[in-house]
Amino acid sequence: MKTELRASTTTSLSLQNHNLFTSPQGSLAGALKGCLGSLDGACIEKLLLHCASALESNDITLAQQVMWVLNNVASSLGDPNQRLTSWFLRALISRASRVCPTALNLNGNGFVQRRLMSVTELAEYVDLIPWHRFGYSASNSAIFKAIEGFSKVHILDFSITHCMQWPTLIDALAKRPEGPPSLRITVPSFRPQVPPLLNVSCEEVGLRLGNFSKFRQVPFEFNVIGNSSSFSSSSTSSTSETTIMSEESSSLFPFEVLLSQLNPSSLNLQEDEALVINFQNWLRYLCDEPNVEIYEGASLRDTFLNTIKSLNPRVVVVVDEDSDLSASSLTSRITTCFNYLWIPFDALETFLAKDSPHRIEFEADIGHKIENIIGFEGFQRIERLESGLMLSQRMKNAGFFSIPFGEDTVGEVKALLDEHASGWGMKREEDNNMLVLTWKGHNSVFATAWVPTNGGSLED
Amino acid sequence: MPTELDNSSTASGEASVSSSGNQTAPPKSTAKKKRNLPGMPDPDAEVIALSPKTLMATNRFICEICNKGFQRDQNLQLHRRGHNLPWKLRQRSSKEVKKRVYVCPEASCVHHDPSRALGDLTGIKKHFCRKHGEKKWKCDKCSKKYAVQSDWKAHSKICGTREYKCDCGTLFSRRDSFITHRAFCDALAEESARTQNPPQTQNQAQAQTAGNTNSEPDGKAQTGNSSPPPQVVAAQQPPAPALPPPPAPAPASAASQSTGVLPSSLPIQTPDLPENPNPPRILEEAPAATGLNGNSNCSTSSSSNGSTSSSVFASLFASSTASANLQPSQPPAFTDLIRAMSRPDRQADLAPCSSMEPISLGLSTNHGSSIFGTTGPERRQYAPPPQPAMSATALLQKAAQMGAAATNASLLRGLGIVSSSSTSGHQDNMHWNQRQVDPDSSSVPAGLGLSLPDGNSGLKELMMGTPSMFGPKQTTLDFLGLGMAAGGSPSGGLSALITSIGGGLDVAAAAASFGGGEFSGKDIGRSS
Repeated sequence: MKTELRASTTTSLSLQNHNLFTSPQGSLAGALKGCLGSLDGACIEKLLLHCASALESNDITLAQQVMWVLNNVASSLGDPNQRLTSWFLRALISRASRVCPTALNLNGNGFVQRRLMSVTELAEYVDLIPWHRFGYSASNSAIFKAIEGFSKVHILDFSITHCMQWPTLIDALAKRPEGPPSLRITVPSFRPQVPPLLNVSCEEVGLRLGNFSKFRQVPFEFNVIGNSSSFSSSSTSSTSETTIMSEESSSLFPFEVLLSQLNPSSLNLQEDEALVINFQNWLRYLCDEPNVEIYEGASLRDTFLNTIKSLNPRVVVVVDEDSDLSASSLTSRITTCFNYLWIPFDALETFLAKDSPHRIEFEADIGHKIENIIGFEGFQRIERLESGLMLSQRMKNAGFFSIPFGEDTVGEVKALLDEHASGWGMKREEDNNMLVLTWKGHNSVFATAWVPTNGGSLED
Repeated sequence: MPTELDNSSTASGEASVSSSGNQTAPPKSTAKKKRNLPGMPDPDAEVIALSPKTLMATNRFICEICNKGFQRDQNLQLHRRGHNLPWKLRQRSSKEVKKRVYVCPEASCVHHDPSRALGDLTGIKKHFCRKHGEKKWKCDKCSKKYAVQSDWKAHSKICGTREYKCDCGTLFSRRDSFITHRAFCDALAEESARTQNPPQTQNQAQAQTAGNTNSEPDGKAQTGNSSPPPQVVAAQQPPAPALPPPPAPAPASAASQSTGVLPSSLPIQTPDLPENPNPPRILEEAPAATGLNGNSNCSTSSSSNGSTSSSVFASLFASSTASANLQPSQPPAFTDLIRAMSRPDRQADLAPCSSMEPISLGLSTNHGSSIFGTTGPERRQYAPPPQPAMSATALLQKAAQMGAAATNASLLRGLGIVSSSSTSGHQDNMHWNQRQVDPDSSSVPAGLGLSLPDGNSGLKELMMGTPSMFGPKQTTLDFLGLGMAAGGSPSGGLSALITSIGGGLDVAAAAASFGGGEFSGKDIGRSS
């Protein structure tokens, strides 16, 4: 492979005059111009961008040089910028190596392998910072309100944190003045291969939830769908159906398989049940590119939402991180990613020691995300996060309208954040009825609640 | 009456920089509404830099009648009404008012950078106090100190109020954490396994009373009557267990790692396991003595500070240096590197690692640490990313010196990116002047390595360069990706670069002699 000079990046560099490096593109000088003596965040960002564009234009030399410089900045035990840089660098290397794809690179996993946690470890993990708990609290509160008056509740749970959200809801339901409803939770068998990872199956998680519910005397049922082998259930009373899907298709197109199961009969929807859909850090894994062949021009994401709408849910809660990280341009993704992910890194820096294993683990998980966003393209780039604003627009397009969070919800979330000391805040975006977790004023995580328009209720 | 802090030009005369955001590319924004992109302040926002004195000051607004102090002018104005003094409240301005963001005056701080500015005044004040201020608030019960009063208050609320205790012995100060833990705790699983026993009924009765009231201590109700759960390392033990997670699940996870990452149907953990992970309480971090840990187990030659600054490439080069020097053939290097790349993660898992030599990319002579020296600022908060010794300029120079001499220095070559030209393998250990590259061949291998005479002979020498060092007509690409003209120093670009950014080395003078007309337009754009 030869290195080719791309006109766009380097012909503007004329060495006749020393002003040549005023062009910000295509040169290390441009990268470092203006940041002599201190490699601050803006500088690092520039370096990252230069590295990316060097890779894209096959300028191996420049890429290597920049990586070298970055490597000297990066430190997994340094300050947040340094730590973040080390993950970005890893992602760029991952990307570079994929120029010669090998069998190792076919999944979107890159080089970062994560250990598997136990359920109790995961329970600790989600509470390190309010990053996840914020969403749980807001969602559970909205759900609690939406199912008022119902004696049967069915939650379709799409999340990556393995049901950590539910104990507090079960607890709240147990204390309901009119008595707890019977609760049914259904999860898909497929889960994107992203951290946090558990060392037990989702059935096992369901078992534990079942134990807990029994302990709190909440009738409970747990189901797994989308499995090629079964519609399995681990509860005391249940109806079970076997869904037969080909193994092959379920492994290649798991979301599509799942989609095919989102119908009243496969889900065993009941008329008198309040159906709740919970999207927690999930929608981002559905492809957002329009697909003419399969979905008539819509994207999988939109189709999924439409299908959900057709199930006539009582409420749909959507929680995710508030940033647009799925632009098609790599440089745009790098910029946005770098400027967004410093937020959790900074938060962790404030509360945990530099060598705290929990912190390192949390950061590694973010690093895994970075690696996918920066290092991969096409179907392997599974992280396609969109911001609250964009997501809200998408929900509206799919035929939902947003419902506001009540004052008691807001109060609960505030109380939660108070316990986590300063720095964490919350704001309400009135236009979208969004609650947003903020760190030092910067948007981190958003929470929204929706109902289908013209949905009516389950009674009709 | 002191002027408001909110004005950009205050009495203390701080300057206000008018435009924040010096990002190279404005972030893509499709938002219709004027809304800040996450993580970045509004590019149109006005950046305000207040002095430390201003930030630390509290109650700056003093009532002239009774000398009562207020943190905000609005509050003072309201107070003044009580004295029947004229008062004015600044109206909440219309949306047209420019958004203001605040930077931290501390130069080494990450929030000094306008792109990391904080959106509100209270935030920056708290930040400054917390990070750079004196910790004058001390908790009564424990020894923790805080610089910001609200932090201290928040802590005091929970300190020593660990009223939730799980059967497994772990203590929690927050109810939701307790509930979540309890739901998944093994202790509960075992308890329910004994459903037929009377104790269970008793539990349920207890649970009922606990559940029906709003009282908090579910845990307390339970601990009394459950049969003694497998015992636990008391949660209060001093943080001796270094890294609880790895020892216990390590066997399981190590095995699982190799089998992939899907949640597998492993059997339930043995009862022993939860005891280990529990000691690190949620709200406290056992400062693990082993740091980034794998290193303490490693037998590294250069473990000093290098271990703390373990670079991404560390294990990358560990494998390559370990295997002698030359690896002309790519596939082994590639696999080595792939393997090596996965090691840092094991390291994160705290499993013992094999030879870890944190070597900076491309500089094999510089064993141990990056150019920075000690970049392990564990004890410092907000250590400036580069140390004083190495400015951006110097880094650049070093980058230019970086050569193929370092074993497998070509990271990218090792990753299989380089052309498979057979000569590439030989390049690794050859200096620039020995390279036999004909002008029109693949320029990549040569381009990958600028010369690095062993042992970093002086920069100056490099710059001046004896003519013999540089072969004639090396139409290789210097690190700027430009073709080299006859006799041009490979670092000609570098010298011009340094000149342009005003590096303070006398190299500039030397370099000047190389600059200028040595490069012809035809080299630029040459795609050899």
